[in-house]
Amino acid sequence: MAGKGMRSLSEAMRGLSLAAQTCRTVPVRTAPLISRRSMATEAPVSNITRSVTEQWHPITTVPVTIHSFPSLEPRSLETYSAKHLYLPLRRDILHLAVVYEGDNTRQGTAQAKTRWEVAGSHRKVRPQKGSGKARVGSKQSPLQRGGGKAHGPRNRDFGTKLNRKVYDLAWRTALSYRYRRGELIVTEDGLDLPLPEDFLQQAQAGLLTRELEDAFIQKYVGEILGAMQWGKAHGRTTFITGEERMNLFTAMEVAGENGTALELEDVDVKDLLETGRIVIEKSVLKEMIREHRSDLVTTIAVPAKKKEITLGSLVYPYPKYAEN
Amino acid sequence: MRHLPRLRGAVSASLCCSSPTSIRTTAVAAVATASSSTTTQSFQRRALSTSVVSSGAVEIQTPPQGLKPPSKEWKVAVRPDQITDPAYVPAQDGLELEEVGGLDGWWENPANYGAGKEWVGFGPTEKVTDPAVLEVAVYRALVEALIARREMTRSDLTVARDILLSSGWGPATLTITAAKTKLIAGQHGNLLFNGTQEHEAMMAALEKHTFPAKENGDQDTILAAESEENLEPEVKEEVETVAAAEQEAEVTEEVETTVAQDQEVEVKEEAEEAVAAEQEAEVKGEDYLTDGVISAEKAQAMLKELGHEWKRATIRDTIFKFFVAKRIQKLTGHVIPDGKLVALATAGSLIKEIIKPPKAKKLAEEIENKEIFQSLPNVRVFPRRVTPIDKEKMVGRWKVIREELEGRGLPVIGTANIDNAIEKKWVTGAE
Repeated sequence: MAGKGMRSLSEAMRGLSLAAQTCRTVPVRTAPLISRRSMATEAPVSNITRSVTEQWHPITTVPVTIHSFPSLEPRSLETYSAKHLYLPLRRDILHLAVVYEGDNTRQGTAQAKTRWEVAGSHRKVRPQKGSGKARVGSKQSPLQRGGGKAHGPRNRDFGTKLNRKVYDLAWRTALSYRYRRGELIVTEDGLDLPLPEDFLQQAQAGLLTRELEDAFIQKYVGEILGAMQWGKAHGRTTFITGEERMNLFTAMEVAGENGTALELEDVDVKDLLETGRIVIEKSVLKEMIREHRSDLVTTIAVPAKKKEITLGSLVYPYPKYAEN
Repeated sequence: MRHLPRLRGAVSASLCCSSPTSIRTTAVAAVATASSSTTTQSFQRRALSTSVVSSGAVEIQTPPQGLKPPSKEWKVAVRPDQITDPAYVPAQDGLELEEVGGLDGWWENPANYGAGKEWVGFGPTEKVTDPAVLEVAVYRALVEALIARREMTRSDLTVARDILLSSGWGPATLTITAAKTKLIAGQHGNLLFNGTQEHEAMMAALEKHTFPAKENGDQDTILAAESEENLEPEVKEEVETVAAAEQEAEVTEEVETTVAQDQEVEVKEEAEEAVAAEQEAEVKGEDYLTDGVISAEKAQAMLKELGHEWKRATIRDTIFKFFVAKRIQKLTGHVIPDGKLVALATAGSLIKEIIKPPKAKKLAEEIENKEIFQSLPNVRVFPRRVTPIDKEKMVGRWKVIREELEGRGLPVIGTANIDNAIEKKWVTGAE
């Protein structure tokens, strides 16, 4: 406890020095050195010491490039608050969220019959004495073959609780983790997989059986995602759209080894952390953050004192081309 | 066979990237797609839409063709009693039947799969890896992005700006002229042209090659494609907001060399000089290119003249970084993700980021690449576990062991169906 004693002493000394000042200052406690560890995805800092005269300007907004799909042309640029997409990695919070989701996804429907639920007569099997055998009260006894289970599984809710603000923070932490690693690819709205013209023609004309269609899509998706370095060899890809897109969802179901496609309402934190990269529509990203910012905005109707953090704002739009 | 619930839409291209010449027509489709995507449709889960998805900039270089479905004709086998071949022996059960035909691997045959189905991204198909070429590409990207940022901020030049940012390497003259356009670090360390007239030659080259005159010879049509009168009201509004945002975002870069646009004096002598130099370069330009990209030797020669000072210049403006990243992606195929771009503050760090070779997937590869244990004679690194068989092979005993095992009818690898010694169970009592 020597360390604690020393800390108390230093705190006391700091308190004394503050008390000596003429004006009141809120004491700022710096985090102990041991907790200031480097984050895994943190950008390398060139000089960690900073002059006291130099002001510290942390990043408040981060850019998000909106790509076209599948050519991945950078089309427009939006900015998001650093509190939305540039949070530090907190593995503990991500762990809490994933466990919370796992608990609440458990079906909890396993149920074994107890001795009172096993059907049959409760008559005494044989007399208490005189048979030379063990005494048996009823054939439903857990000791008997075909009897009830003494401490078997029962229907129950495995769900646990997690504070909404923590869960929302986890959600944005997961997005930030992807963003920092360059694994969050935001596309224009209407994300879908274009299939070749000749294939669609023949499929509609009924020239291909279902097996042939599936085999074609499997090969096609494998080649496209392979060329983009998004496929199986590069950790698969999760596509997130606002609604079910016919070609994309069917293709990813058929070629599931290369990735998966999810609607916004089916996504959870674990999905965001699973595959090699997340490909998401820009409006879906915005909606996702809007739904998960309870720790940043208040729902109580009082005059806002603080300026609310706006969701991604467009800073560079893709030019609209005049028709020929 | 599943039903295709939707009828075909108008035939258009399906997959590919944009090319500068086609970008105007194709981008209209992108706008239409975005607006129509809000309508929801109910459909069966396992179904394919036959209406073509437009990805915005879509232009097919080679239209997909030649998808060959299997023939629907069936060949009927000869009846067994009509077979005249004396070598024919009828099968006694199904296992003996020979398998003929089938559709497994139908698409693996290139003749059936057809051509033109490859993914074509925004950048080149193969990433540029040569460090010198990458450095020249970054330099050119910086020059062009600076031009886009300074000279094309007018709201009626947004299309021209996008054509500039989306164009490929083009003729060698462009790269040569870009390399002659001197970039410096300004008073506050920010990236600047070395003087207000420095980029005149580059502008002239771009106007000649990137914005070629239309068929009717009207040079101004592209550069002034969107006059404000022609714009739809919503577009106009957006353009205005963008212009406002851009003005807001302009940082000291602009302030340093405020271009007196009113005083746009045409420096005729310089322009003529530039044209002469360009023509001269064009004559020589042929050997500058390999597969449309500047060749490594020429890039190295250019780098010697460029020096290193420009690499220390800082880049902080978000939109400018976006321009640079887009140019780099188009020229080299390297995508710099936003999360990394935030931390990159100098021209040199951009180069470092894309020159860095991809991380090795395996530790053994990493060790081999870095030649870590090369100096230690008693250390060897293997890409996988060294098994007992490997050890036997190293001393040349494995061949003998294999022969002995095979001679006794014992399994060479593994234990086949032979269990552990039964005595072991007796001794340990384990089940």
